[in-house]
Amino acid sequence: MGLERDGDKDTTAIVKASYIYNIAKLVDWKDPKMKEGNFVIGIMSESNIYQELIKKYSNKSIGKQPIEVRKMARSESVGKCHILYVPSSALTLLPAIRSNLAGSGTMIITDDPSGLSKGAIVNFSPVAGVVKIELSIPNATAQGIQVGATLKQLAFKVEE
Amino acid sequence: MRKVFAISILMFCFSVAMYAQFEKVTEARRLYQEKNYVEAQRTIDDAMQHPELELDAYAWLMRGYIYKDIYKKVDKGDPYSKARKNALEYAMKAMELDTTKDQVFFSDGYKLYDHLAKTYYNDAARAMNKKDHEGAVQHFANYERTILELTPDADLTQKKIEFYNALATVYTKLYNGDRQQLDYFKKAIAMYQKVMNLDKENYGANYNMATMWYNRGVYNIQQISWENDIPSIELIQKVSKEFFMQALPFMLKAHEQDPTRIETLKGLEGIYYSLQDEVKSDEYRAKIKDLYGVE
Repeated sequence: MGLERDGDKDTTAIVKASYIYNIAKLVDWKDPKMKEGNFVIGIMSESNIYQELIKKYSNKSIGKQPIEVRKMARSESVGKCHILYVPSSALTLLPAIRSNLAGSGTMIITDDPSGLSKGAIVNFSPVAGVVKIELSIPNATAQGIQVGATLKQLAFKVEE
Repeated sequence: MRKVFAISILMFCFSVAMYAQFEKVTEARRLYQEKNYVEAQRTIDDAMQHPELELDAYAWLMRGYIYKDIYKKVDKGDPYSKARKNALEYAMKAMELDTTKDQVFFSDGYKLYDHLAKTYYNDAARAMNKKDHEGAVQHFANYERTILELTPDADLTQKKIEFYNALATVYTKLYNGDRQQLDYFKKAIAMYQKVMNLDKENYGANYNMATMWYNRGVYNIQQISWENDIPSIELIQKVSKEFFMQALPFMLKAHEQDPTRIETLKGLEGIYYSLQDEVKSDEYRAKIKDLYGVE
């Protein structure tokens, strides 16, 4: 689990980084404070996704907010972000992370079959050899995040 | 009596003419030994104009030697030298015409022909070093043709395998230099397939074929940029998945040939990972760690 590969050939990391950027464009944070300053994407442990985001997306913006990619330590006391990616290798920390970030407006993204049930809003799921997106609308609502209709349509699975 | 006299005169003239032509061959040989190849060529060509030498194995052999050195010394081994082609033809002629008891001209003609035929193979190799794939194909075709003319039942399988593998490497390099040149990709794949048609267990062809497909799938995904939306990312993944699927049986075959080789273990780990099969990918990763202590 949580394979670390040569960044250039880590196809899964490339795909996931691209999904993260696209997801950010297709959701809305209700809290006005989340629409100010940098758009923070926190990546826990997975250095290839982090590198990919830095390489291709760190000079882009979400709306008017410039993207800031942060590498997060593997810890339950992680700071608030717009998006926090928690890899399956750190999934045991998820309940505590979720609890600490409750109501903060942080969108947690995982890549584990149990991700949504543990509080993630988005989960990356391998479906017939392709990475797809699963969504939890209740988890999004609890964080004050509105998922756009387009993202719902594009998701492989949506929990309403 | 008059008739006999006329025949005698004719025979005498014929002998004189014959002697004169042999003298020219001897002169050509002398010039050749003095390394005056151009004059030797002119002299032997002149001598061979005469029908008396048409069936003379020695004269043809001498002509073959002279043309061999025209190709080597005057044309400086030019792979497109016409002199080599001529030398081969003359050596063959010497072999065909040799009626001597100990077949000395046949033996020397054979050696000359064989040597010249092999120079085509060397030219093919040199052309490949220069990434001149068209030249390489042409020279190898000449090699194959000339060897089979000499020995129709010659087994060229190993040489073909060697050549096709090397040519595939050239195409691969050209493709890697410009990934838009899919023609080179297709040619490389076709060459590895040709190797496998001759030897389906060939480790290199299987491994390289797998790597070609795998790298194409990876490259496709590497092209994802901020401009790609979710549907296009899915589409790119599906296309790449087909490439990874193409790679898999060849990498498995290569792994079968040498189950402890790290390249194939890494290759399988990578292919399964890209196919989102983490369980199998992890299996191969664990094998690498067990065998080599590295991840």
